[in-house]
Amino acid sequence: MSMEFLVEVNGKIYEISELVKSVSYTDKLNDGCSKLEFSYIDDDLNIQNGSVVRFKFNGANIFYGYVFKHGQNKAKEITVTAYDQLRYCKAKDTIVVKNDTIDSLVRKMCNYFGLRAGSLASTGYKLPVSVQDDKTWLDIIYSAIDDTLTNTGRWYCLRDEFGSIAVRDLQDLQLDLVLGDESFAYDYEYEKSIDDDFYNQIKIVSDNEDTGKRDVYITKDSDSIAKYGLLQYFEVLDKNYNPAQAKAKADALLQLYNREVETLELKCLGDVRVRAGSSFYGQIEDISLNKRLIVKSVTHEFIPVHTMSLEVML
Amino acid sequence: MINEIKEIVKNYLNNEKLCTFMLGTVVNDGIKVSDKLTIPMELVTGNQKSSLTTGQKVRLLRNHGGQQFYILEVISE
Repeated sequence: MSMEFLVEVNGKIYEISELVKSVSYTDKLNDGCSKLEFSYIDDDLNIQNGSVVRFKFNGANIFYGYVFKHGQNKAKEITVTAYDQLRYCKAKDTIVVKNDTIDSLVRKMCNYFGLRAGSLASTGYKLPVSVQDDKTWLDIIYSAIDDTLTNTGRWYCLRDEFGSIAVRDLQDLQLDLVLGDESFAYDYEYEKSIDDDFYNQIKIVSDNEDTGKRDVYITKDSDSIAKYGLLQYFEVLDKNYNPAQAKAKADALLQLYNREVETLELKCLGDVRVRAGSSFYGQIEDISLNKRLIVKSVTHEFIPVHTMSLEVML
Repeated sequence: MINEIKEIVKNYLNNEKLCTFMLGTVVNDGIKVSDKLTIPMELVTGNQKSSLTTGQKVRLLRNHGGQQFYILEVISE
């Protein structure tokens, strides 16, 4: 195990890997910036907000970001929280999205805040014209990602990769890695529920300009209703959908919601390649799991032994 | 705790973009509401849309969600 832990304080760079007591790195899929929390013991080195932190583990680039919080106690243990560049994108703004794609929006954002941009996958999908008034840049881009997903079926993630902002197709983030019973995992928690976000009948109401009144569209899965009881989803569409579109929307919603929600959390030995958005092959015999899974969030702990806990999408 | 809840509700409502009246001026590529925001014509509806001319001051009704703007009236030329 080798670590390289650099911090820049007042123009000087210090290597503190010998002093660090704990390091944890948290990353979430399309949900804000990634975060590095660490603590160290030292009399002389007073880290400051805004200091640059760079962390490498076994030669792999893990984190490059800026200190946003630090504190200490009587035992001279100093705790620090640092975020990556996306922290700066929480700022609100008003923009009009027109002839834009995800990558062009991200490029605008980087220019505006003076952030370093890295590899921006070109998505090729022109976003619908919209007004984004008084919204955070992150929300604007996440809603662009949602639009692109529903219209093209391609899923992208926005993240900071060691100091440069990147847009990646999740297809390109597949790892040749197996996690499960016999491979790296030492604990897991699994749950299957119909308590939240489960519906087997969809009822959609939409204004019809031709008839001058509201139309109702219902679609349902009778087998599922017999099994679980009737659970209805209701929505009034705000945009003008024509009958075919409304019907299609109801069918799509039924597809989406008519399945038991499964959640899985895994605790494994660490692998530096795993970030939110990457996918690996999951194998757990007891819950007959045998497929590729996307990481929703991950926390790496590097001291004393590199471990990680994952929340995945099933 | 109560302050956090207030903050959350405030942010939520602001994000939700409730219905409201707005004032704007017709310009070439849309309706200018503020220096930062010119509403593109694609999002403007109402049967007065086709008769708009540049320079007119209009009152708009923003629909819930903030993606549709209905022209209520032309206030002045």
